[in-house]
Amino acid sequence: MKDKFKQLPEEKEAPAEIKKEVFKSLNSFKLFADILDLFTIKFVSTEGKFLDSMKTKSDKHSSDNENPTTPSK
Amino acid sequence: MITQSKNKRKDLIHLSDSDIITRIVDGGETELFNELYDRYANKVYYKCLSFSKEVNTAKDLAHDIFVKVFMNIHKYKGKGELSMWIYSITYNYCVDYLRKKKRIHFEEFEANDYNDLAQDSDAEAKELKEIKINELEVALERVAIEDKMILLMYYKDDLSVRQIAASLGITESAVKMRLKRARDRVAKQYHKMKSKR
Repeated sequence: MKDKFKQLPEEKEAPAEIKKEVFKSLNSFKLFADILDLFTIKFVSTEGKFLDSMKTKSDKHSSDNENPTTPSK
Repeated sequence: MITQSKNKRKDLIHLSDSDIITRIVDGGETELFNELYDRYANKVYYKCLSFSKEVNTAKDLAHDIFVKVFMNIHKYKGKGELSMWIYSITYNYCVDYLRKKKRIHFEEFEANDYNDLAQDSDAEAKELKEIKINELEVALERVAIEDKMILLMYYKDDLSVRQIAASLGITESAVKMRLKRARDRVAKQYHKMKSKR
């Protein structure tokens, strides 16, 4: 029984436009994923790094004020 | 340029499906999707066409199936052949489409119906042993699409009863039952053809 089914025709040439459309869709998804990545993960991490650097700067600034290097007259 | 791409195709032909997937998933070589597409496009398209019977619908189905396959390629665990995984997605997608269009319906069986499973099905198996390929093709066109689909899944594409059950959303016993009924119906069609000879 299986042998008979195995001999049945199993392919027909797929129209070329399907391939074009498949890869067009995949590229759109990739572009969308890249944009999403840029505005979510990368944006948050950049923002985090920026805030960290701001915090470090302000910490440094306040410690400079508390312990001034130049002696007061 | 053309010769270069032909040579590249020649090199890729020797790669197994699982090698290609490793290179896509681990190596990020997404251009290898081209090779996978070329290997399976005609088969997937043929299945879509044989179930939908409309060229434009078959094109849309094949498109959606390949996008789904490529977007989920990382989920292919390498258990079993890639072809079975792709065909399972293909059947699943076609079943969903045909269900939405109300062109197929997999009815549930009553508990009593399962008694049929225990019965010897030698007669129908013997009858189908003599069937010629072109007669089988005709008989499959004459039975319901659900019957044709389940027989192709099991006998042609080697999907297991469990895989078929998952694809069709029915129980494994219902798959066995449906396989038996589908074989009976094909045998009946063949019998009709023989009596008309």
